[in-house]
This record gives sequence, C-alpha cells and structure tokens, in this order.
Amino acid sequence: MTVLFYIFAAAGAIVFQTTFTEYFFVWTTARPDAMLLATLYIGVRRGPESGLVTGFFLGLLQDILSGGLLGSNSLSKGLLGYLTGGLVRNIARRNWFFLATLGFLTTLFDVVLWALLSLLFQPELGISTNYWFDSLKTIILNTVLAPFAIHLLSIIEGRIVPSSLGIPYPNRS
Amino acid sequence: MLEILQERRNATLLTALFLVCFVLMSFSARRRGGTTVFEEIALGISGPLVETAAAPKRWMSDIWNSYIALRGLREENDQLLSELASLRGISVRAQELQSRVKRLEELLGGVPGKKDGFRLAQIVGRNQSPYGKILIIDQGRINGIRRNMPVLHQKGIVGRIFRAGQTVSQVLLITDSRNSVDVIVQRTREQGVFSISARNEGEVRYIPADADVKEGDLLISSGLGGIFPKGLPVARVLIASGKGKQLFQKVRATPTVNFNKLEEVLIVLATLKDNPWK
Repeated sequence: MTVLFYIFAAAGAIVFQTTFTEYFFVWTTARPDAMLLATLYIGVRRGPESGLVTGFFLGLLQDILSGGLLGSNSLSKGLLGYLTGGLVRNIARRNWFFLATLGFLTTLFDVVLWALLSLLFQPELGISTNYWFDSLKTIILNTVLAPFAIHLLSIIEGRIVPSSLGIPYPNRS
Repeated sequence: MLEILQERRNATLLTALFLVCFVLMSFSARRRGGTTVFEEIALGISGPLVETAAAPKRWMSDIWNSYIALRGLREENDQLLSELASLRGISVRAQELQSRVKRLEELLGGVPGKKDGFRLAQIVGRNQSPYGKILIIDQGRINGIRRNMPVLHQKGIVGRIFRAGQTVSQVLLITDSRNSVDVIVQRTREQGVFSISARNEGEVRYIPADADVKEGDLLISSGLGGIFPKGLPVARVLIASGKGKQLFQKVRATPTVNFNKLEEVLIVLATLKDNPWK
C-alpha cells in the first residue's frame, strides 16, 4: 500500500509538471520542478535506494518531455534522490527551514549539473543566458514550495497509509 | 558475485546509475534529431497519462465555453453579422483573384497546387522548463503525424513536430532556442531569421542596416528552410535599431501567437515531397 502511494505521488508529479505548471508561468513567468520535489519527498521518506530509482525514472521522463539530452536529468535526479535519502535519514528534525534549504541546494545542484552535462555532450549548442534566468526562477520557486510539498504529501500519506506514520526507514514496508 | 553485489549494494546502484545515464547521453548526443527507442517507449507510456490528466481541465473549459462565456452573445452576434456582410464582398473579390492566379499558373507551365491536409489537435500537456519549450498534443503517428510537420494557430506559426509518438506528439515551439524561422517583413519584403535570443527575447537576425523596418511591422514566413509554408504570420516588430551603424540592424520582435493561451493547434500534414526535412 505504501509503495503504491509513492507510485501515485510520482505519477502526480508528472501530471503536475505537464498540466498544471502553466498556471505558475502566468503568475511568475517561472515553473517549479515538480519531478525534483517528488524525488526529494520519496528520498526523504524511503531512503537512498528508493530516492535513486525514483529520481532516475522521473528524470528520464523529464528528459523525454522536454526534448533535451536524454539521461542528463535522470543522472542528476537519481543522484539527488540518493543523496537526499542518505542525508535525511540521519537528521532527526525536518523543519520548514531545513526543507527549504534542501529545496534550494538540490535545485541548484540539478541546474548546474544539467548545464555541465549539456556542455560536455552537446558543446556546440552552448548554454543560453535564458537558461540561467529561467533556472534562477525555478530555484526560488522550489525553495518556497519544497517545505509545503513535502509536508502536504506527508499529511496525505499519513491519512492514506496511517500504518507508516512514526515508523522510521528502513523498517517501513 | 551476486553476494558481493548485495554487500556493496549502494556502490552497485550508483555505478549502474552513472553507466546507464552516460550510455543514454552518448546515444542521445549522437542521434540528435532522431527519436531513440527509449524515447519512443517513454512517450508511449507518458502519453495516455498526460491525456487523462488533461481531461478535467478540458471539461471545465468546455463548460465555461458552452454556458458561462455565452453572456453578451447577442451583441457579439450583431457585430459578427455586420462583419460578415463586409467580408462577403472581400470573399467575392478573393475568389476572383484565386481563379486569376490559377489561370496565370497554368499559363506559366503548371505550378502544382499544394495538397496539404490539416489536422486539429488538442494540447494535453506543456513543458516550458529551462530545458526546453515543448507542447504535447493528442495526435500521433496513427493520425498521420510525422516529425517536422508545421504546427499552426489562427494567429500564426506555433512550431514544428519534434517527436511523434503513437498517440501523442511533442511540438517544439518557435520560442525554443533550438528553433528558428526564416521570415520576410510583409510591408517591405526584407528577409531575416527569427529566433529567441539568449535573453529570452524574440530577435530577427541578418536584416541589412539600410533595410526599411519599423515598429509594428508584421513578419511572415518566407517558405525557405523547407518546414513552414510561406506567408504565415510569425512575429511583430517591437524595436528596430542600429540603422546604418553596423552591417545588420538590431530588430526585436514578439511572436504573434500567445503560447500560454493555446488550447488547440493545427498541424499541416505535408507530404514527403513538400517537406524535405522529414
């Protein structure tokens, strides 16, 4: 049941990214990275292995949907899922400030790594100034949204799968 | 061997991640322009999901358009009737001109008329992230959609088919930095190339310094490049500066289509003969 919830959370991120983020664009001319937020959430809740697998598949989908370099987002998000899972397992207090910082640092890492990989594999295309402007907005949005998204998903998970509440990873089913 | 892998599970997973991703990136970088097998599969899986997700939004839009937005219909109807009356006159003249063009083409040795069909598509998803400006539409290869087919809107050019899946396709917008359109200024017939600059602004390159271009000029597709048909609106000039100072003018332009308000698009089902880039 818990695993099913995580699959639904990941599917929800795909739907959110492709369908609803346009409303953010109208208000702020930027879009959040829902796939990254879902990866962070699953990393935080399920640990490094689940974070890595989720990040890889969501990143792969993002690469396909954006028409970019296939494998770049999967590597970046897979790594971030793994690192978040390993990091957060050892941190007892997950307050809002911590989650906002996590959202900021991971999005920054994602943006920089994507640019490096793009320059490595597609040097002739280069990185436009536009990419950095858009990415800056995404970093700000993700920093703000990360605590809300992670807390909201935790509440929903607690309601749907109450048995998982209070059970630390990796004892959770 | 399996025991060692189990013992070093984390290291194995990380190595596998790096290996798979680097293989994918090398494959993707080498096959740029085409669609890989992985992309085909993932587009096939994500397509129905995105289509289902877009359904509630479409229903809401239908309700709005069918009932709520019908207020003030009488005034609009009267206005449209008067516009129709004036357009009838123009239509008669256009028909006359069309038959005259046909006769002249026959006289010139039979220039074949275009036999392109159109297909209406609903937008079911968008991805305007820093990584790319893409629309997802509900038409795929089973509907005759192929790579590089032009995608239009009543206000102008939207983009071209980037990847055609079985039931859904991706449209690369003209605002994506990987896209550019050969254009001509409608008023003066000056030629240039419209694309998005590094600062996320529409710009027209290669307009000569002595060319007559001014604010408000409409830019239409030139038909060169083999993808977009000639004569379709692309953008409108915002500022033209640097006349006589450099080799080319600095022309900024904004697309005629508002990409955030798009709900449906039209795909030109160009034949292979018409579209050499396919």
